[in-house]
Amino acid sequence: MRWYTKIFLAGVMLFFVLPLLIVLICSFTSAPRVTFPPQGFSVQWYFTALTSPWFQTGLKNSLIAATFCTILAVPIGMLASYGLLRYKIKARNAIQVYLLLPFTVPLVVQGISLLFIYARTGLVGNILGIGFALMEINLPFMLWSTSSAVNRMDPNLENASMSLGANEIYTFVHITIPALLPGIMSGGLLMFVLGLNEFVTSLMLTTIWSATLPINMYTRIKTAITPDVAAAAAIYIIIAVIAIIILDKTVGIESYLK
Amino acid sequence: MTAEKGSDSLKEKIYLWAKKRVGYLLTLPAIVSVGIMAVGLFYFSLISFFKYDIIQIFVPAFTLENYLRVFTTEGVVSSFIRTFTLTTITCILCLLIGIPYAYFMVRTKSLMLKRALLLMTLVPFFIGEIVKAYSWLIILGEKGLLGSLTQQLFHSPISLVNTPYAVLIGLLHMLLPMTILLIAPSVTAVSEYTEMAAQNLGATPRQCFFHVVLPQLKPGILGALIVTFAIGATEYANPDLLGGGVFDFVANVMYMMIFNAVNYPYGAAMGVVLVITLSAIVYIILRIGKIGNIFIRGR
Repeated sequence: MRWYTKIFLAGVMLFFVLPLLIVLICSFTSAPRVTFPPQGFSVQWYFTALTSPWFQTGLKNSLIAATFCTILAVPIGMLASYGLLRYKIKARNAIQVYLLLPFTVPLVVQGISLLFIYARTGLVGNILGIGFALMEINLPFMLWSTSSAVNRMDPNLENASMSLGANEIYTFVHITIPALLPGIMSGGLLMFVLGLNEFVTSLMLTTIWSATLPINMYTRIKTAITPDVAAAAAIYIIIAVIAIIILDKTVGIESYLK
Repeated sequence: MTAEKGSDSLKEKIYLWAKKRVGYLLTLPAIVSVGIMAVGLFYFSLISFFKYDIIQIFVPAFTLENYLRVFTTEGVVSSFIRTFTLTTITCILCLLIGIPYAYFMVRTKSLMLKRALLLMTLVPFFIGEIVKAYSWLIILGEKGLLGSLTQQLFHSPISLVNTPYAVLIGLLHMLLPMTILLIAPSVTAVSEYTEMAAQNLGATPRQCFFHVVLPQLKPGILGALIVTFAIGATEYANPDLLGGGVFDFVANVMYMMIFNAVNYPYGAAMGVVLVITLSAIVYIILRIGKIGNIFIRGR
């Protein structure tokens, strides 16, 4: 590898993690506002964040919404990519473009579109409603993970099971789902973490009482400059790292290369 | 005997009918989920043709006035130009950096380097836009890293917050990991033997990359381009926090129109124009690339 290749790769890696490292460092400041380099060392802002209502209710709402989002996304995504790739479907390309709508329609527009539906059905401010919205807007990511698992699975496994006398449902439950588990794991984890982090759509569908953590953080950033937001951001970074470690221990991060 | 045979064939017919449509049935929950949003989207676009009313917000009387205002209001037109210019620049940078990065990540013989490159890409991918924008606020702000560095060097702190550069950096930080993760599988799909063959026949590594590898990456690159462009052009939080209201994207102007000015029809018209422009761009990319499979990984 040439020296300029090394510099290029190191530079990009630094660009990716530098801002996150800075937030981690700044969250340990003892000063009443965020500066770099930070002044002193303390964990008081973690205390402040963890004990303040904006953080506690925000985190609770985010956890409920992200969990519900994942519970919905796993079966929906798995069945859809299996159906799309393993069966002859005439309208496959059309369905694919349609299922990509959550990416091509602006999140602000999707938020307002869902707001119209929710306003009619009384779901505005309902945390499970937000969970559904999180699932819908990130569904392509789930399909991305599961479709790769479907493609890597050997169809002979299923054929063998069925030629040995198992019916389709038995085969699907006992052969197909275990074979797709890596894709389901990485997709489900991704949906959960993205759900915890989602901002724009939630902003439109929540009320003060159902506001999720990113919304409360946004409000804090706009109104206050205290480092408790840095502590909350640091907690998000730690969650991301934990998620990646879980992913690596179960599926292996290399699955993202296939 | 014949009756039994008849019911058997009826059962078989139902079975065959369902079997033929299993693919569609399995896809149905996903189609319905997106469909709920699509119904709202239909209602949203309907409102864009309604007349604005100060008291009732909108009255169902057909008008094209909202669209006319979108195309003739200077602030709105400039927000469209700003959005698409900055997103185009970001996407070009994403491809210029992301393609070689993904290539080295997949091809490197060192497992440690491969994992390091992948890990660094996954960390920002798993973190939301608010946290990322906040991090850049700290770095690019007057009291942050850039401010304290320039204070020591030039005795006057420089801040990039509330400038287009901050929005560009924020967007790049958000879209580059996605670009790399979307391109990497298609690099894996390129057989190393084709590269070896080209090099055996005398191609330099550079020629080999541009004439042998790059053409095979087309589906991955175009898929990444579509996804990053769509996400970038519809961004809200980044321009809001890092552009500080002086560098608003279409989504920001639209949000203000709907939630602050409570002019639903006008905001809706802006949204529809944005969706149509984006769809047209996606369609053109698909047509130019002649690819059917986008984003569904592995083929």
